[in-house]
Amino acid sequence: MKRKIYAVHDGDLESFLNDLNVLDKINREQIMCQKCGCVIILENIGFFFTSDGEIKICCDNLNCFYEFKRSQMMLGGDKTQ
Amino acid sequence: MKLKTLVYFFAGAVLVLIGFASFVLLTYNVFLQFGVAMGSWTAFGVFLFYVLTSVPTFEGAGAWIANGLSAFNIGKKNAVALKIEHELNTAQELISSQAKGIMPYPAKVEWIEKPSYLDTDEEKVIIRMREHNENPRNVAFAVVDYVSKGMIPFSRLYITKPIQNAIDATIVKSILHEKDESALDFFLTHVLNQKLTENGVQHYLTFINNINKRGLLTRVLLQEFNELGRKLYPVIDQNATRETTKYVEQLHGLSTRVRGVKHGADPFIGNHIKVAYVLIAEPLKILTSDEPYLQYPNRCLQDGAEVLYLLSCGVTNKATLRLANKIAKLYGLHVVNSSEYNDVVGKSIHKALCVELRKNT
Repeated sequence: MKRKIYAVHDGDLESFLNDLNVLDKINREQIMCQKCGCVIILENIGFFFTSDGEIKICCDNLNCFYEFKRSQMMLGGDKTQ
Repeated sequence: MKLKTLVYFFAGAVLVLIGFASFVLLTYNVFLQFGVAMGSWTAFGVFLFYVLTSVPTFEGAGAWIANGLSAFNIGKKNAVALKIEHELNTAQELISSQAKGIMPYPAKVEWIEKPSYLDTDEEKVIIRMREHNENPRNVAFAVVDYVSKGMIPFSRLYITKPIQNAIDATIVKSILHEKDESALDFFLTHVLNQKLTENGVQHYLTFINNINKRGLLTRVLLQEFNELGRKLYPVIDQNATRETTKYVEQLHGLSTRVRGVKHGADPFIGNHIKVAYVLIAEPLKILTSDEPYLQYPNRCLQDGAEVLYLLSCGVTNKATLRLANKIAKLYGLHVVNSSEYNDVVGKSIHKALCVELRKNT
């Protein structure tokens, strides 16, 4: 068994966002980071996660990712796959 | 170089030699010559692909080769994935050799191209990975993801947030320190320096650092937390949280204890963590008489200890290992882990050995 780290490569990012139907919103700067509230643009996308059936986007600040992982664990173990 | 690495080199050399030898020795039959040489070199190709993509020691070289192929999409992705897997899996191998079960699984980067992967009720996270020239950033994200997901996952409920932060930061720091200084800088700048201002983090970071310097973080503390999580998860237990905090403080006392001082190495008998330490300053003394080293564990076990850690200084470890086996046989324990390490006391570094003996359950 291996612990999988799911990743999207820069080269696939635009088509990934397009498939998510958020590319336009990002280009119009209408999406905010779920952790720190900064405006998400193509350059600063850090990671994606699902919550309550919705897809959320966070920025590239490692501290936001660290806080996100912390909050997952405090909710009774990391359930992200 | 490790024995396993040497075996891989040897196997590769044998396959190449067979290929050359078949050209020279089988010249009387061109078909036989062609068949054996091609077979051997095909096997070598498959073997090379396997070691470069799946054996942690060689994944770094795989990433380097993939860098050269970065004109192709597959080369770009492998240059990132293999670098991350190399960093994480060599660290995972090292930590597993110190205490089995803390980081049980190796890491693998799985590329997601379509968002349909997210179309489930499960909570999932996908990290954006940049080009290989930004690997320090990629590695830092991957290490944070892996450590928080893969290290003592069932024990987190019973450890306070400042202690968790201190443990994670110390482990992430030690992985990155050995593997990738630029990724460490990225982590220090973007996470740790900000965390230090939070209440309690600096205090416990000092504690965990001192425990780590003495080689007891993975071998003793995380091992005990891991066992506690395995016993209790998912039941909420506030007393267990208090106990883990007390245990960190007790183990810190042991880590900073001055040699020869009587106190500081007493057993810790809580509701869930029941640990005693047998300190062996001079292993050669065991050869003269092991009686005191056999009586003390017996007293600790009678007082409620369920785990014994034999912490031995010096390079004469055979005597300590023999003693561990004798204690195990006498008192119905079994040797769970045994690993050598560098014990850092002040500015001096000593060779040391930790043997974990646990009651059969």
